[in-house]
Amino acid sequence: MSGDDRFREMFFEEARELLLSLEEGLMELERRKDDRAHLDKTFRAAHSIKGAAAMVGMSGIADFTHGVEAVLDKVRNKTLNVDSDVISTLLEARDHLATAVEAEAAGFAIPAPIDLIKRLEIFLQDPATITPPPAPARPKAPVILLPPEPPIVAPTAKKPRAKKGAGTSPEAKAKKPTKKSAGAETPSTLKAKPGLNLFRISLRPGPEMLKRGVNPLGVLDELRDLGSCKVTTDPDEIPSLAELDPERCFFTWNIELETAVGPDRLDDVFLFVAEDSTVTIEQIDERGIIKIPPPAHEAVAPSPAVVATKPKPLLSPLIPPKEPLTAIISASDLAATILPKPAPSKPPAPEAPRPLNTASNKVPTRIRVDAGQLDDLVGLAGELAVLSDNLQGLRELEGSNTWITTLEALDRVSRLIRDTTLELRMVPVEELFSRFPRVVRDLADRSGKEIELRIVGQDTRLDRTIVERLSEPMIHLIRNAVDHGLETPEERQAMGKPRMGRITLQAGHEGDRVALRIEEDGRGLNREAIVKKGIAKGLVPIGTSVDDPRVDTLIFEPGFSTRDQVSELSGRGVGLDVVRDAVRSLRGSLAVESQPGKGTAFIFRLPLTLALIDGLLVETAGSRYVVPLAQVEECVALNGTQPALSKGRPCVSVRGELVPMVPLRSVFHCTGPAPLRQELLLTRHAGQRVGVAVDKLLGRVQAVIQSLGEGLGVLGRFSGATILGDGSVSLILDLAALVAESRAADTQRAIQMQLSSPSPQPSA
Amino acid sequence: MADTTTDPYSESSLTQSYVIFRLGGEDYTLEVMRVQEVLDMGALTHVPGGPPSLRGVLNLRGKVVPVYDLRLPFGLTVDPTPTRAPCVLMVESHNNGEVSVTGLLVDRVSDVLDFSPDEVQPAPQLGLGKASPFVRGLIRHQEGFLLVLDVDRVFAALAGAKIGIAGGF
Repeated sequence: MSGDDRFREMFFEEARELLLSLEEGLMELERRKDDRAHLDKTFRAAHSIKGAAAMVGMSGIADFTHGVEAVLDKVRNKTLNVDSDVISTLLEARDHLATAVEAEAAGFAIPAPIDLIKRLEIFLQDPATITPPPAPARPKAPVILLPPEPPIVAPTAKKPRAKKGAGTSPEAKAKKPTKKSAGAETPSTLKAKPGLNLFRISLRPGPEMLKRGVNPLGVLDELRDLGSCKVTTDPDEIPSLAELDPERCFFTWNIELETAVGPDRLDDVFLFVAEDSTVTIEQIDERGIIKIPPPAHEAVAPSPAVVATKPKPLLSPLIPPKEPLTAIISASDLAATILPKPAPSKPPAPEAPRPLNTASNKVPTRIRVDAGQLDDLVGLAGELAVLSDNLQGLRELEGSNTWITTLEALDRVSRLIRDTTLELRMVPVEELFSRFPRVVRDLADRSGKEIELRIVGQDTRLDRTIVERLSEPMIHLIRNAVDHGLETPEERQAMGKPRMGRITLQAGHEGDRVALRIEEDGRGLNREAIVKKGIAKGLVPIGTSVDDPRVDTLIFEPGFSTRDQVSELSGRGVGLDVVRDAVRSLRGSLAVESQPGKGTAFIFRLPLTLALIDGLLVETAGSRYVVPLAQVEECVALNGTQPALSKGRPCVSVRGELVPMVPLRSVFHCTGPAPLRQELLLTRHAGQRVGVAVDKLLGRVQAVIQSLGEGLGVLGRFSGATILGDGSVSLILDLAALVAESRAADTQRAIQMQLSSPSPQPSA
Repeated sequence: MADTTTDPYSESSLTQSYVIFRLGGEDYTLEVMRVQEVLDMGALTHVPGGPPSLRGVLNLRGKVVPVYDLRLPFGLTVDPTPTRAPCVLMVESHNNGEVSVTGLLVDRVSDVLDFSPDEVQPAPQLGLGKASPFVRGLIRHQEGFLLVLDVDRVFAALAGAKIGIAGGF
């Protein structure tokens, strides 16, 4: 992988995380409008995405993000009120960014939807100004020819910069009030030079800058966007060729920047380089004198009189030229300020923008690992435990006394290793749940229903794969809950319920399983309609009572309900078989509980991990197979019982009930006679009990599941393979798939027999 | 290539090592780079319902690896009473950045030899039967020819067969 690719990869990883926190931030913003720290955090997520994208050359993403950032900045400056329209648009913009990032990852760029850009622009327009046409391209120079906005004087000691808000170092806070420009800043060059700020900036990249993938030239470009720049390079520190480290940047840049923006704006530019670079910013006032700044800690504390804020200038293709530019007015004329920026002071504790490619996290150290390697490790750890198990047999041997302690220690350690590696695969369900507030909000918006979402037990941990694969099924159920479960506010009111419907997502342990509940306090299942439908489809006998426990589970039957029955059945059953199948493929189950008028709950019950299964070791025709215990309801011995034929299918009687039987021997085309005594594994298929006949039961095993290898996964009848104690490989049977396969073959055979009645029954 | 042959340094750097093996009465060869290891044929677990050329799966140090027998798809003779146990070439294939290992059953592995690229002649279009699409070239060796196996094509055909595209494999 080339260096470039590596940085792109890093960008994608960072961007995905930042987009998540942006989304969460936006969702929270609606509820915590006045939480400045939260707003800052959200702003920073956008800003970091922009910076990161610009650094890997994805200018489309960077420019678009700039618009999002600009809107957030207006919110921060209190020139834009947060309402659901703003949030919805920003969320949509975030979604576009997410799509754009994934598209870039796949190797192509997608343009931002014009209408979205326009809607963002509307927020950026100042109500006082006339709607200007959006600038089509990123202006290379600061916007000129603009009438300056009358400065808005903040009544209280609001800090002018959100970024340095709560949680900033005292140093950063202290220098705040010193950041003044000479008089009202005029953005217009027509208003002559005094309106512009002149900065002298020196940028000396740290030794690690290039290695971190930070491109100092990007910083220079960004400065050029702010105003006219004179850049000189100081090559003095470049060592002789022999000592030259090509991965190190030895230049120092001296930049003279003439710009309409204030010093605070410059902070943003250096956000990514400040980590290990030395940046000094000096402001020169109109008399051309560089004022030496007072050391930051000596600066006066913010006082209401000194600080006045105005919306920050925003420069991006999204920003109409009428965008007001910063005017910071100071009571005392502190015309020039030097803002020394020693790197270490840069990241303010918890809300620090996470600089790209650095591990400057103070949160418990985490490292990214390759998921594939982790799976390999789980497999190996499992085998180690098995090998250790085998060795334990040595204890029985004579003269093994000296080794007993070692064997015991080996047993303990190998189990610990296995359990720890398994634990590594576990992630909190929070990763799954965190996207649902957004989903519910969108659904509520669209349906016009008022919904409150409660989330309980999000610390519950589950296998990574389960968490990944549950997302779609859960969204499906949530959508159902909103669309069909919950009533409209009016209906609810009429029924004496609170106007606001409630959806509860709850995760918790139930024995050795994890239960996820998706509950809503809506109208409940319409059992009459379900029974009617079930009888019509022949799924339940005529005359089935509405209270029959089978009724609710009917909604999980494939094709039970289709679009046209949506209203009739309040939509239950639409695609629920898909949800159930998804859960089953994770070796879990899906249940429903419902009370008329009170609501419906769907419950997923899932194994803690997919890597290990409790299984039954069985034997058929000399081969050993593992059957997941979760699929077996009961084992019954068949002592030479001859199966009866019912509708052409072999059936056996189990305690008076006629159960269809699938002989494993015939499915696998085994030769040789079956033993007299066989074992029947009873499982449930499409709500019916089915028995799979095997030769022998060998015992219980705990098996580490491995995939069968590329391509062989299409053999649905095996869900994987495992290595047994003796080192041999045993295939893991998927009883559900086996039964389905055998059913399909039966049907096929029946059709063929009908089509070619004279020919003998095909031997399948 | 004319200039490279005159330069002894680059000639030697272009030389490749090949594993020579016997498969159904023919001498085949494969770049040594692709072969992870050679194992004696151990216990295989049969996969009922798998493709006909799949002999089973085995445990390679804790990983489950499929083993294929190319003699069937290549239309080669299978010795019903082999004098010695066959062995398994563990061949690496790269797929979307992931390395997977597949076992190929062979009658025996005889040698590892170096050949320069110009010793590899293009394979004839005819005369190799069902194996033709999977032979990348010929190397004249002693009295006969070594058939250079194109494993990537083999794997592609195996993958296709698994999902029912190219039947018979």
